[in-house]
Amino acid sequence: MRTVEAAAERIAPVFEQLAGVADRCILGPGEIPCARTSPEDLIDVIRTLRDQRGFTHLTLLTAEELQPPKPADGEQTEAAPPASPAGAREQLPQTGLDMIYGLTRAADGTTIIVRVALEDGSLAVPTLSHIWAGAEQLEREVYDLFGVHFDGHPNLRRIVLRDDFVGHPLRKAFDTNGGVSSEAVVEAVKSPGDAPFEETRRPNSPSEEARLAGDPVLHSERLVLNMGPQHPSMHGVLHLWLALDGEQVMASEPTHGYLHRCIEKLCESLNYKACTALLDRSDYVSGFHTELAHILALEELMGIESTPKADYLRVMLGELVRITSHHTWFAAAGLDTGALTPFLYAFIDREKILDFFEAITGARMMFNYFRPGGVKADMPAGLAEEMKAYLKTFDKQVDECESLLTGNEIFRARTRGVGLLSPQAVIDHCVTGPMARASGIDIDLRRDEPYAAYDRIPVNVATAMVGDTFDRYTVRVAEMRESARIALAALEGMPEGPCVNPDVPRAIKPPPGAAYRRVESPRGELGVYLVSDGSAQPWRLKVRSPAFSNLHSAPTLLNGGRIGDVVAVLGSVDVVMGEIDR
Amino acid sequence: MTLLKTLIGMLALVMVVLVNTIVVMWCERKWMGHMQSRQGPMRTGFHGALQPFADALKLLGKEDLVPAGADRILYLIAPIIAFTPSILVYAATPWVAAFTGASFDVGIFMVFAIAALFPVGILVAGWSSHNKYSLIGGFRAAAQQISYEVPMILAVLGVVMLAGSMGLQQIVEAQAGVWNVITQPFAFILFFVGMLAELNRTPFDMPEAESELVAGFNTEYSSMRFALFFVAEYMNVFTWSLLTVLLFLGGWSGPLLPGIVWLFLKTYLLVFVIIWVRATFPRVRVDQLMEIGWKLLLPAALLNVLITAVGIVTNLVVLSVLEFAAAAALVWLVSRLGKHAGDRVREAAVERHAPPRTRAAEATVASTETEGATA
Repeated sequence: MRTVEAAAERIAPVFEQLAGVADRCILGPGEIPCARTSPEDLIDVIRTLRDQRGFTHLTLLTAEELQPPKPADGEQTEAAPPASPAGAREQLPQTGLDMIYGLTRAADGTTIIVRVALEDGSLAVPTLSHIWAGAEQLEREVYDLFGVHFDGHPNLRRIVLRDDFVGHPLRKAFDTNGGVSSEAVVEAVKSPGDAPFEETRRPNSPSEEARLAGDPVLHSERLVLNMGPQHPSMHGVLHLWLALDGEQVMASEPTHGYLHRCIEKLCESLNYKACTALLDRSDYVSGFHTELAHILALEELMGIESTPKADYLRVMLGELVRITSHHTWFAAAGLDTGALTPFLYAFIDREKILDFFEAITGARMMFNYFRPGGVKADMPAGLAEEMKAYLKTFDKQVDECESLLTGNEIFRARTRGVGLLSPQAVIDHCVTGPMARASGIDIDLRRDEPYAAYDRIPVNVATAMVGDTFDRYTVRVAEMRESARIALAALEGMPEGPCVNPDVPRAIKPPPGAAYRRVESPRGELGVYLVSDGSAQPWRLKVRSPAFSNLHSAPTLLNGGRIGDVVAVLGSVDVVMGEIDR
Repeated sequence: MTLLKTLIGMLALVMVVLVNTIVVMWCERKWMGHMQSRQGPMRTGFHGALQPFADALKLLGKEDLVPAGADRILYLIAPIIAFTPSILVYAATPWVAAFTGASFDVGIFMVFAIAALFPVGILVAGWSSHNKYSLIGGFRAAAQQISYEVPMILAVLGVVMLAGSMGLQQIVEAQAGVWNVITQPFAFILFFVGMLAELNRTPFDMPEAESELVAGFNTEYSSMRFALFFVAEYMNVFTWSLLTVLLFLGGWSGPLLPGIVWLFLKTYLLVFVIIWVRATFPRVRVDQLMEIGWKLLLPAALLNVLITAVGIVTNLVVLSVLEFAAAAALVWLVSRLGKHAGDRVREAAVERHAPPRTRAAEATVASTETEGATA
C-alpha cells in the first residue's frame, strides 16, 4: 500500500500543473493515473508532460469505443461494483470514441494515461507524429481500425488492412458478417487506371522525394525493390519497400499486414480465458509474455492476486521463453549474414527448452498456460532437478554459439558500425527492449516496474553504448545468459503452495473499468490495455506491440546502407510479424 | 580411327568429371550436415549416396518456365553459356603424367581464359530473367569475378616464374623436389581466396546470397536449366580444387600410392576445406568484397611477384621464408581489420550521442523536478 501512496504522491504535482487543460479521471481499479482532455488541449497536455514532467516515452496510442449506457436493471448492474470506476464512467459522454495515450517516465516508471474524448461525428484529433516519429505508424493503425482522422498527419493510410478495404473493423458498428463481397474486391483491384503498387506509395517527405528522383547529372534511375513478403529473410511476411541506387538503399519503408488476423477484434467476442489462447498466437515466438500481460491486466481488473508459486513459475517460464526467442533471433542473425551453422546450433539448444515447455504446459509454442490467479497446472515431479541441471550448463551452450559469430572477422565487419540507432531516435520511435538498451537507454520493465516475482529476483540489465547491429547482438547474447540465471534463481527460490488462487470465481466477469499492464518481452515493452464492460468478454483488448515500433524505426537504420545491410540490420531488430500485425 | 579414339577419350573425360561433380555434391551435403550436428541425406541409397540422382530426377520432372517479359533467347542459352566453360577447362588439364588433355604451352593461361566465360553466363542469366534480384545478382557476379581474377592470375604468376612455363604439366613436374605450397604459401592463400570468389562460394557467395537476393541470378530458373547452373557450380568446385592441386600441391606426385590416387586425395582435401569454410563463415558485404579484392589482394599479389623474383635470384629457402612471413602478415592484417571493423564509426557515434541516460541520472532529474513542483 505504501508504494501506491508513493505513486499518488509522485503524480500529484503533474495534475496540479495540468489543471485547466486536463481533468483527473479514473481508469479502473488499478493505480494508473489518468487525465482527461479535449482534442484542442491535447498537444498542450502532451507537451507539458513530455517536456516538463519527463514523460518522454510514448507507450500506448490507441482508441476505445465508449460503452453504451447500461440498462437500469438486469444482470449487468448487479455485476457492476458500487466502487468509483463505474461512477467515473458515468461522467463520460456515452457515445463516440476516446483516444488513449499512455506516457511513461523512465526515471521512476510512472505511467500516465491521457484520454481524449472525440466529438461524435468528427473523429478528428491532432497528430503527435511531429512529437514522436513513432506515433506516425501508431496513428495509422488507429485510423485503419477505428477511422480516427489525425489532423496534420503526413501519411495517413491504412497500415494492416489492404488499401481498398471499406470500413473500420474495430468500431462496434462494423458489420463483421457483411462487409465487402469478394467480387467487389476483385473488381476494385482490376479496375483500369489502377497504378502499379510501387507508384501508389507516396514519398514521406520532400527530401525523400528528391532522393527518389535519381541523379540529374548521371541520369540514373532509382531501382524500386519490393523485398518480401515472400523472401527468405523477411521473418515471415514482412514487406520492405526499398528504393535503391545500385546497391545502396536511398529510402525504405516497411509494409505489413499480411499476417493480420484481427486478434484484437476476435478477442472482443471471446471470453477472457479464450483470449489467453488466442494471444499466444500474437507473438508466437514468446507466447508467455502476451499471455502474462493479458492475465496481469485481468487480475488488476478483478482485484485478485496470483499465488507466490505461480509468480515464480511465471518468471521462470517468461525467462525461458525469452531464451528460446533469442535463440530464434540468433539463428536468424546468422542466416541473415550468410552463416548457416549458427541456425542449427541455436535450434538444437532451443529444442531442449521446448521439451521443458511441453512437459510443463503440454505445448511447445502455443502454451495457454497462465490463468487469472495463477497457472494452469503444477510442474511435473522431478522436472525441476532436470531443468536446474540444464540451466547450470547453459553458459557453455551460449559460448559454443558465440564462438561461431562474436569473434568472427567477417561477422564483425558486417555488424560493427552498421545500422546505428541514436538514443534520441530510440525515444522518437518509441523503441524499447534490447534495441533501446543497445543504444544506451537503460530501460527494462522487469526492474523498473516489477511484475510477477521480479520484485523478489534481482535482474541485471545488459546495456551497450553505440546502438549498432553488433551492440544489439551483444546485448541479446548477454540477456540469454542473464535469463538462464534468473530462471535458475526462480527455480531454486520457488515456494511451495497452490498454483492457482482458490478465490478466483469460476465465471470470469471483471467489473467495468480499464487496466494497462506491461511486461518485458524479448522484443521490448509488451502491454495489454484491457477494457471490461462487466460481461464475460472484453470490451476492448489492445496489445501494445514492441516489435511494431521497433520495426518502424527501421528506415532510420537502413537508409544509406547496402542491400546486404538490410537483412543484417533487420535481423538485429528481431521482428515477429505475428505480433506486429496481430 | 583417331577420331573414334578422340571421341571415346572425350566421353570418358566428361564421365569422370560428371561423376566427380556428383560426389562433390554428395560430400557437401553429408560433410556440412555432420558439421552442423545433423546427418544430411540418409534415405536414398547408402547414407544418401543416390541423393544427387534423386535431385536430378526431380529437377527433370519440373516444368521449364520462362518468365513473362524475359529475353527469351538469352534466358534459354544462359545456362549453356555457364555450363560449357566448366567442362571445356578440362581440354588443357592434365590428370596424371600419362593422361592429359591437350598439352598447351600456355595451359594455365588457357584455363583462366575459358573459366572467365562462366560469369558471362551468370550475367546473361541475370540480365535476361526480368527479375530485379536476378539483375542485381548478375551484376554482382560480373563485378566480383573481374575483381578477383586479376589477383588470382597474378598469384599464379609466381608459380609460373618458378616453373619457367605456363604448361600445367611442366608446372607439376617442376614441383618434383618441393611443392609450391612450401615455396609459395603467400601465393597459395591469395589464390585460394580468389578461388572462393571465383566459385561464388561462402564467404563470397554474393551473386546468390540467398538471404539478400532470394537466389540471385538463378531466381527464375527451374527444371534442367537450373540444374545446369547447379552442376556447373559444383563442377567448378572440383575443377578449381584440381587446379590448385596441380599448381601448388605437387599434382599427382606422392609416395607409395599411384599418382591418380594422390591427385584425388589432395583434390578432395581441398573440396573439404571449401565446404568447411561454407559451414563456418558468414558472407562479406558487396562493398567489402570489392575492397578486399582491389585494396588487399591485388597489392598483395603484386608483392608476391616481387618476392618470387627475389627468391629466384637468391635461393628457395629465402623465398620460402619471405613468403611465409608475407602470408603471416596478411593473415594478421585481415584479422585486425575484421576485429576492429567499424571502430571509427562506433567511436564517432558514442561521441555524437548524448551521454548515456542512466537510470540514476534520470531519477535525480525527476526527483528534483518533483520536489520543485511540490515546493
